[in-house]
Amino acid sequence: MSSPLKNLVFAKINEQMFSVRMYLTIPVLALCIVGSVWGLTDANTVLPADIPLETPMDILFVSSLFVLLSATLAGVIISYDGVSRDRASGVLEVKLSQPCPRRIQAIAMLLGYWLSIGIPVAILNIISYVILATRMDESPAMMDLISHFIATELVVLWYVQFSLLASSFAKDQSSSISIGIGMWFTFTMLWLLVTSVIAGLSGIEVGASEAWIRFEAIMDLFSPNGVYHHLLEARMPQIDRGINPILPFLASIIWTLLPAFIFFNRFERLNP
Amino acid sequence: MAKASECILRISDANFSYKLAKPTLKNPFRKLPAAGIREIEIPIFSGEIIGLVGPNGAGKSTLLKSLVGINKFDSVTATIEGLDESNPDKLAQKLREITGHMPEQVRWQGSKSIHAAINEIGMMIGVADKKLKGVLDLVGLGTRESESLDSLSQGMRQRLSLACALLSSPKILVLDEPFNGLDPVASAAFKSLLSKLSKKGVSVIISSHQLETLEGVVDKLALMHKGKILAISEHAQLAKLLGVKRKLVIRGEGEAPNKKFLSKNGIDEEPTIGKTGWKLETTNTSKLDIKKFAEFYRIYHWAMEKPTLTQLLVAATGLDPEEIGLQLVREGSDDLSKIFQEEEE
Repeated sequence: MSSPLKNLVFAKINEQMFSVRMYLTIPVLALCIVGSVWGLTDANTVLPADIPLETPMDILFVSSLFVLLSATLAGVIISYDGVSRDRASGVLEVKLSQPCPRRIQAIAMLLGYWLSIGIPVAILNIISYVILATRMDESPAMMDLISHFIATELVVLWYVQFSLLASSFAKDQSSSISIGIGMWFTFTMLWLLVTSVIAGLSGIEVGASEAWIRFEAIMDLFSPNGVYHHLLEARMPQIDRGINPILPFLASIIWTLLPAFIFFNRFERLNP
Repeated sequence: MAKASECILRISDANFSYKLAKPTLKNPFRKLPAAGIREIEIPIFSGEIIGLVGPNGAGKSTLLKSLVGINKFDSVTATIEGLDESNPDKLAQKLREITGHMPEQVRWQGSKSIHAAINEIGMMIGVADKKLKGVLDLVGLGTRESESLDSLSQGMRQRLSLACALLSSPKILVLDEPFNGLDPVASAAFKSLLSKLSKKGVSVIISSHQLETLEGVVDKLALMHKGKILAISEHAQLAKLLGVKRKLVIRGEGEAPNKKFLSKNGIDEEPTIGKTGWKLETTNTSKLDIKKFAEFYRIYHWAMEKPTLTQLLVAATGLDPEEIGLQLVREGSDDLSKIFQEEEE
């Protein structure tokens, strides 16, 4: 990593780590990531619809719902005004007039915001793995942990990318937060509705049919949350939704590279 | 002020227009060129101070943003430190390397300290902490570097913006309305700083609406209107070029000179009468004998004054001063008082 890039990333992490937003976000993250694993590993926990909680991966899979609710929202909250705040205050004009290439500034911004939220999430995930191993008396498979860890960091990255991209388009703070939260809400709360509507229009009956399960799996590739679940399911052989197992990996590469590419190019042409 | 010598930057035939989104059903991504700057021709020599003057919307800020590499010219021919460059992307990067930019208004805010804010900019260009402190001292923020941005006044924010502009040791300093929010003492210190930088060979381009603040500071003036530079030269040459003559200003008290006396002395203009006395401005001085004038009327001041920047701008654009919307307080104060007097009556 070049020196200005490294310095800018560390400065951004330092700034965000000790921000009021982070102080408010950390307890929520701790409650959702660590708390959910703690609760789900309780022997008396019974989930509706007979969802199994037999293996450590089952626990991690179910707790991913809480990760999606907290870590992705935290990513949006931390980075929703990454560009628009500086633009509104005029500081962006000062930064863009510096000799430091815009691409370096954009990469530093993306890495800085991602790691600001990615590091606390990583630490909390590691704590939850320890809790998982301790309370279940069964060590989770290393590959399960690695895939859960990477998938979680990736989904946080995707949301940070969308937020920064949205922030680069927003001219004011209210548009910025609206776009960020709206996007989070769509993928987290409304995606099933979107899937159902499109399925209905395509003549696929919503329910437990094989066609529906496959259709839902395909639609999930177009949602970061869906791809996250696909990545976790890759470590769960009992789940088969009828799509080629390579597709979630391809989708995750596209979800990682495409928004980043668009953001970097957008930043190159950004008019403060 | 240092005399201009080496040409650091010469911009020729430069054009830039903003692209405004005008979506249609057929083309939701349609963008149309909007206002901007066109056929810009500007040479910048080392150590010279250029004042960029023009009415609101003339394109001053757009030109400044283009000169510091924020806006990329649509088309341009440039010579930068002796090397030709016509690729807008490459030119923008080169311009960022040799210029320091102080935008019109930066609302530095947040709980971070002044030092942290300037350090973030310093990290982009690899500036050492010692230099950061030196620059903060130079703009008068050295003793306040640990204060938070939220506690800064507008003037202090301006100083911080100037510090950021100076960080990269620019060859050309580009200042957009730098006197906004500065008190008279800070303004004088600022002018002195500009003079020092100019002597060290740093070129300065200043845009300002407060035209009187530019007088005595700038070596050259660039008059802008509707996205074009109409003229760029030294004050006296511009006046000559635009046919704006120096004027004689006579101030007196008691009875004001009458029309008959004035026409006898070849003066067509009439005096304006204010609360403290009368004032006569004229460019027809060939027949005028000031001693004779003083025999008949009580005069306490007379002087030949060079054309003001507003007059130059009015002459260059052909607009009325009201249309230009400049600060005419100094020149038109008597007229204004007359208007107020009439309103009261």
